[in-house]
Order: sequence, then C-alpha cells, then structure tokens
Amino acid sequence: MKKLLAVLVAWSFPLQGSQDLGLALKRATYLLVGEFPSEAAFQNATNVENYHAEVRRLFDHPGFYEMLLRYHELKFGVGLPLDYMEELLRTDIDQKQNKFAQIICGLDQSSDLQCRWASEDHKSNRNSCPTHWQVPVNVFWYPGVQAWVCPSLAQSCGQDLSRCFISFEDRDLAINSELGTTQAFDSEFAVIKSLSKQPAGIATAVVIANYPYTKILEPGLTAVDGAIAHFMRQKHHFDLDRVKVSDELSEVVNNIALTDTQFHLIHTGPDSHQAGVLSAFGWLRRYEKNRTRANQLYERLLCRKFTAELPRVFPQDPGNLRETPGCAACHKVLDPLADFYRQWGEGGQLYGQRPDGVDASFSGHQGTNLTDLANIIRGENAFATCSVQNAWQWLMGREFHRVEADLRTAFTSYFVQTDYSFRELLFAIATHPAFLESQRVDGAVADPLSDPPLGEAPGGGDLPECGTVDYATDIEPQITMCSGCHNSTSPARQGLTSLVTESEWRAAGAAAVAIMNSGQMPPGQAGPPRIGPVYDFKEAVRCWIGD
Amino acid sequence: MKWNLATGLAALLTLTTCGPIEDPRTFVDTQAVATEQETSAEVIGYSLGSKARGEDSQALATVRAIMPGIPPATVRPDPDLYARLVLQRFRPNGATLARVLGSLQEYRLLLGGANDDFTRVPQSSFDATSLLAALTISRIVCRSLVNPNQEFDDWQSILPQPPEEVSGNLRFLASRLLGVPAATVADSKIAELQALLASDGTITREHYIVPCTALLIDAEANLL
Repeated sequence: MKKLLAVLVAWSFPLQGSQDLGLALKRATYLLVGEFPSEAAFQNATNVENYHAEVRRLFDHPGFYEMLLRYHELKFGVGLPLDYMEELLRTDIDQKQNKFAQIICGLDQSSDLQCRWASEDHKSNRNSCPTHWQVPVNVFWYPGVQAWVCPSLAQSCGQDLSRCFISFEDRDLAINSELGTTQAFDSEFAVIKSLSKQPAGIATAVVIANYPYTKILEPGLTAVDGAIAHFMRQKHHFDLDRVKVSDELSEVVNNIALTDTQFHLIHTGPDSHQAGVLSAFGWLRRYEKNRTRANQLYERLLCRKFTAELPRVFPQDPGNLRETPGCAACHKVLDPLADFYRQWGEGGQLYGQRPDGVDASFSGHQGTNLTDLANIIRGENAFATCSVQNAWQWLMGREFHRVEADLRTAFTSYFVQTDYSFRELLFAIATHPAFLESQRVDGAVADPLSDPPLGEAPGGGDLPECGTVDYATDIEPQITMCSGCHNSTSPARQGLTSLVTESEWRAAGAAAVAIMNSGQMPPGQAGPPRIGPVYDFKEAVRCWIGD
Repeated sequence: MKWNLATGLAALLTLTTCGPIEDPRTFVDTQAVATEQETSAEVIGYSLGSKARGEDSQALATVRAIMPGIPPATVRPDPDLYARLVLQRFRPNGATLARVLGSLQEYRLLLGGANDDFTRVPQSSFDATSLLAALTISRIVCRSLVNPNQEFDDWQSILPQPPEEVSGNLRFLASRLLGVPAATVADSKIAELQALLASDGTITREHYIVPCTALLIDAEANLL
C-alpha cells in the first residue's frame, strides 16, 4: 500500500532532485527572521554546506525572536480584546473603579509630550495647573524623552510616570509603536497585548534559550516583558492576586526593564496549579471553559481532534455525557481531561477558590492537578510528534502526506534525541532535501497522516512487553531516585507527592512513569531515558501498575 | 515569603541536601545581583535544568536520507506582518514608521489579517479582496519608500541612483522587493518594469511608485 502511495505521489508531484538553494534561503530567511537574504548571503549559499551555515546564522538574528513569537501566537491561538483589562482593576478602593490613576498623554502643537489626569479630560483638554507650573519628567516608555506635567501628577505617578496607566491620544500611533522608539505609549493596549501573548512568550523564550521544548509546560515557569512588568508593579491599581502573581514574582519583575519588549523566563519553583503555557493568563482567559481548554490543548499540543458523528436525534437531556451514546465517544476522554482544570475557575470565575486536588485522568494516567497533566503530556510521544508537525507546517507550508510517515517519525525521533531542541528541529527541517526543492505544490493535502497516537513513549516505538514485576524486589530498592525529595518529611517537599510507600507508588505510579518518560525527573536527566537504571526503574513501575 | 538572599540560600541548601541525586533547582537571587537593566539571564529564579542538545550530524544525516520527494507548498507572507516587514527592511522603528503602519490598520482585515482573539486566523491564500487591499497598501508603502513627501518626516528615497538611472534603480527595487540576487533579475523583467514607468519626459521619483507597486504585488514576492 505504501509503495502504491509513493508511486501515486511521485506521479502527482513534478520534482525529484531539482534543488534551488537561493529559493530555499529566501524562504527560510523570510519565515524565520522576517527578511529577505542579503546579497552576501545569496552569494555564500551556493553549496549545501554554506546554505546550512546561513540557516544556522538565522537563529542569532534579532528577527528570529519576533517570528518565533508570532508562530507560537498562531499555534496557541491566544489573543484577548482590550476590555479584559477592566476585570483586573481593584474595586477594593472604596468600591470605586474611578480611583484608577489613569493619565492621558499626547503631543502638543510643537510636538512636546504633555500628560494630564484622565479624570480631567471631560472638563477640558488642558492641564489643571497653569503652564508655567508644569514640570518635566522622564517618561519610562522612552528613556531620554520628557513630558510636561502638573506637579500633582508627577508626585502621584512618579518621576517616570510608571505608577500610572497611560492612554495616548493618537491610539493608532501608540498601537503601532515599538516600545522605546516613539513618544507614544498606551498602557492598556501594551499590557493586554503582552498578557495575551504570554503563553507564546513562554514558549519563545524557551526556544531562544534552547531549553527542551517540554519546558513550555514547566510548573512554576512564566515569562514577563516590560509591559507586564509595568502592569505587575501597579498593585495599587490591579488585583494581582487574581492572576496568581506571587510575592516572589512581584519582587522579580522589579528587575525587568519597562522598555523591554522581549519575554524573560521566570521560574518561581514548583506549583501544582501551574503548567507553563497551560496556566498562563492568556491561555486560561482565552479558553474560558474547562472543556474548551482541554479541547484546545488536545488539538494544539497533541495535534489530535475530537471528532464524532452526533446522534441522529439529539436527546433533550443527554445526562452524563461520558456515558450517553453518541456523546461518550469524545466526552469519556475530554471530560476527565477537562477535570485537570477544575483547580481554575471558568470564564469570569477564573479567580475563584481552587480545590486542592481533583480526580482527573488522561491517556490512562491518573492525576490531581495541572502539573500532573503537564507531565502526562510531556511523557507522550504525541507531544513531540505534534511539535514536529507544527514546525513542519510552518516551514513547508503544508501537512505531512501519508507517504511521509517515516519522515515524521524520523523528525520526531531526532527532536527527542536532541532533548527536544526546537531550534535543531527547525534547522533539520530547513535543511532537509524536501525544503530545498525548487518546485512548489498546493498547500492542501488530500491524504494527510493520521493524528499522532496516544500512549507511546517519546521517540516512538512500541512499549516493550512486561514480565513479572514485584514491588519489593524490582521497585522498592530503586525508589530513592524519587523519595529523596518526594517524601512527606523532607523540608524541601514543597507540596510534592510523597513516593515512599507501596500504596503511594500504586496511587501516583502512572504520573511518575509519565514524568520519567519525559526526561524531566529524576533530576539530572538529559532527555527521556532510553537505557540504564532510570529506564529500568520506569519500565518496572509501568509494568507493575499494569499500564 | 520574602524572596531575598537568605531565603534563597536556605532554599538552595535544603534542595541540594535532598535525595541522592543533585536537584537542579538552583536558586538564583536576582535581587542581590541584578539591576533593572540586567535582565540578560535566561531564567530568573530557579534553574530550569539542562539545556537541550545541539546538532547531531549523524542522526541528522539519517533524517535527510528519508526523501519521499514532495516539495514545499507555496506560503503567503503573514498578512498581519506584511506591511511592517516590508517597511522595516528599509526604515528604522520610530514615530514615522508607527504612523505609516497606523494609516494601514484599516486595510489589515481586508488583507486577510487575524482578529483580536484569532477566531479568524490569517488568510493563507489570496482572494480578490486581499489582492485589492495588497494593491492599496503597496501604493502607500511604495510612496513612503521611493518618493516620501513631508508626510513621512525626514525619510529619504531608497532609490540608490538619480531617477534618470532607470535600469539601475529598477534592478535595485526588483532585487530588494522580490528577495532575489540582483544579478538574477532578468533583463526582460527590467524591461517590463520600465514600461510601467509611463513617463513622457523627465523621469522623477514619483514615476517609480507604479513599478514598485507592481513588484510588491508580484507573485515572486508574495508566494514563497
């Protein structure tokens, strides 16, 4: 069958062996850094080795960050309208939101920057003090530029105005300005844009620093840029507890320059409610319902879709969707997956009380919180395969064809082998012979590969068959790999699940296997275990719990 | 808990004495060592552990050996970034650039751009509407590039030679706007562009707006 497909494909696509390095370089450069190659780059890339070197150089180009951020923004589909800002305003100051210290800035006729209280806007377009009382302040969003303000405003907003929220009269100008390059700045737009992009910012910063791509789901990991730092420094205006900004994080953001347009990784340590991208405000607020969150991660991180034919007659009260015929096919997977999100409220209730732990499950693994979910996903080969598919689609402009199954497997294996280096994955695709072809085909793929299956260990391949495993003989002697930290008496326990007794291993063994599969634990792993004591231990636990 | 050096060190000591395997969560007290400008550290706070690996030539050769032989598909540049990326090739960030981009905002959705929450994703192909929007945007962009007036503050024309040096200017525009080496721009292409100059006498920079627009909407520039 495979051979027949290969023949059909060879017949359908007019190519074979006609490489065009210049064309490939143009495509790689545009997609990866948003420019066209220079004359020098074209002249250099006349053989494959030099072409590889030119592609490698792109990863150090400043445009790579921007294009990668955009890639992740699109892949995660995260974006929020401006009015989401309002729900974060503190209402505990006399229960009145109009206490909010907002100022309006604009350019006067001589292009001098002037700022005034927003509350005075309805009275007139002028400041509340005479012109000769006004004082110059250095605005935080454009170092070196001064604004003229009344003394009361300078006193309240600080000598750089960073303690107030800024509106700019020319909104279009502000929206299109790069922070730190013009006098125009709009706090609301800048902050909501950055909060929306935060999940993409986490993933982008992980790739830029060349950490394993699995870290995008790291508990306690977030990313902050100048605009979010500006927001987080205004505790007096915003209820930061609502977006789960810990004291530790608040302290750290003081070190982020307010004009910094790039996201910086901040790791505040383990937190079972967190899972990197999956618990970022931009993700939780964009996907408001737990089922939606589950559905979106299933599709965007695992490249799988819930598809089923609806019942011919839809029941008026379908009851338990996990059991109702016609609904159960999807909901028996979707709903337990959505349960991982029960620690977070839905929609406007996002900020409500969080239960400590819930019973949730996915892909045969039980769990109680988002950290467990993150570890299950990272332990799935489907996560690696999906990352490959997404990167492939970005650079190749199309999905994998069915005859490219081996290629997808090979890329996935290489991705896992490089310990999930997304940069190396991009390099591998942008230098693959298929990418160098001079021909172009239509983006529509009539015979796409099937969704990546669940239940496979990273790197692919079937799991080895299990022999007889005994807890006392095969597992207990090895548990010190985990129980050093995962014990209820350790001062460093910090909410970690205890893994000391047989019953504890029985309860949490599946999650432990998932996290060992992903190469995250025990500490010191350089990628998913393939051989050696950690691999043997992981396999023993897997077989013992009967996975 | 106040995050300071003392608690940081305490955390570090606690963690490194925990278990037989070294815990990678090494605490970095940024408060003690960083100022606002010093945010170059890749991770602030606890360590993220080991980096991913670099290139594995041998394994990569195996991947490259698998070649089912299907070429890439044509890719349309992201409509949301299109105008910004063209302009940024020639113009610095600043108020003028922001103002030009602001003036193009109203065409973004027509061009096929995404909406706020990505319920509408960027269009991956052209239709009549997006092509017309691209034409309009290209004219504005081209004016700002080849013959900027006082609207564009102190921007200068990107044409490298005086306007009457038609061939050299057109070759430059074709090379930079199509993203191809100057030497590979065919003479026939230059002749076609020259026909678009449509001048009955003296050639000015204004005359280059039409061929520039034609280049920006050329398939070679828009289908990678």
